[in-house]
Amino acid sequence: MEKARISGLQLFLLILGFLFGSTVILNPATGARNDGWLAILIGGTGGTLLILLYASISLLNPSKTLVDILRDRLGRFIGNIISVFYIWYFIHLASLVLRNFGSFIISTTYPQTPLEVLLIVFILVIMYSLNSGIEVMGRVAEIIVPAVPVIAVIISLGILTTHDFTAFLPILGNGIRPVLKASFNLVTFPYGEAVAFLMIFPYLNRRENLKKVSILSALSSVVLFLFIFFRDIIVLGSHFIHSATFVPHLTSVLIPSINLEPLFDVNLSIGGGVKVVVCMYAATNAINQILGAGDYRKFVTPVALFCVVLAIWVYENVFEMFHWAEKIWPYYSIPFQFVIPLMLLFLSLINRDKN
Amino acid sequence: MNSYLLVVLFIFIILELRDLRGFIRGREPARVVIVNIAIMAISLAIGLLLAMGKRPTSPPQWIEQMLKAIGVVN
Repeated sequence: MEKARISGLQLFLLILGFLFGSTVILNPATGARNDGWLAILIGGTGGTLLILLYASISLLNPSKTLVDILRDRLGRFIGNIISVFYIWYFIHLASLVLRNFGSFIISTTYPQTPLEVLLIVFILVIMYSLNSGIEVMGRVAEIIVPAVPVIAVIISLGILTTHDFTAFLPILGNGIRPVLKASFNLVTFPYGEAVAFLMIFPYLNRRENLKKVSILSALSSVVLFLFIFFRDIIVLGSHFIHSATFVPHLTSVLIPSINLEPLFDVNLSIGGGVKVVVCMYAATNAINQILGAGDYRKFVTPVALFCVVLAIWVYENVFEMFHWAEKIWPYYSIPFQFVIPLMLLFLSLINRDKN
Repeated sequence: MNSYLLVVLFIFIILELRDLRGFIRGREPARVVIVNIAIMAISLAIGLLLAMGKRPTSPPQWIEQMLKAIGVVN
């Protein structure tokens, strides 16, 4: 394992940036239309519990990454096989975020620029960050992630004159079903994806703070999502929030006489960047541990190329991307986010009681 | 032919050659070099197919078919 340490604040900001990630353009809560705030509250609570589950697994297995825990609890052979599936999951997730980022930028800001050019620029920065190590990633998060809520507030202040504070009424006008569905989608995307942090939790300098930091970052993301949702719905109304392709972007272009669109792109770059870095770090570090290579950096270049190619290969168009994110991703993620972690928690608890 | 994708692949080939030089100098174990080259070769092969406009069915499509087959999604 890398001899690096990150502080509680750095982990907090890494998780916050990760959770914000591509949720800025693909917000599952909008599926519940004007009841999205309820979906955020329910899904956020579920998501916080899920992150707490991951933190508990890490605390029950001190100084062990996901790969070590899988090997210890399930045996070396089965542990390695499941680790390979997780590697695929992390690479897949990184490429989906890359594609979200690329699709958004070519649809809004740079319509003349080819997707490949955007992806290579983005991935080269991410490779540089990965090669710098987890400590540098933590320090960079400390500098850039605080900009995310600041930018959200700036955009919100710009649209103070355009609002309908009753837009989120009536409550549960479409029944509870869409709310529960959106809540489940929100738990799997983005909270469940934080399973990647099982590869990063061991690097926290004060392990006793792990639960506090995890819960705080998950709750902060809930507050941020609620803030952004209320901002969007009071400006756009429930119809637009459901049918618009990139909701927060639409909000940012409504501001009269000033163009705050680049700020929105900055937010996406920060969130998306942190998420891709964490996923690729988890994938390369897992490959490194399985092979006993000694350094995850040996796999950064091939994994980065695979992510770029997969990001281009994965969808033919933006509508396929939305269909996959809403209909398939939540169910595909269940084994990685719920089943295997719950099993690991159970086995870790049995092991602790034995000892 | 997608020339932008070809340029991306070319950039990564250069980066990979740089990495391989380091592996040879550092006498890395064979399994590390093999896995590294294997991931790179798969990526380059798929990248070339995409650049030629021959897009193979993608993993999300396989996963969707699989989930449909077991009745998880409609």
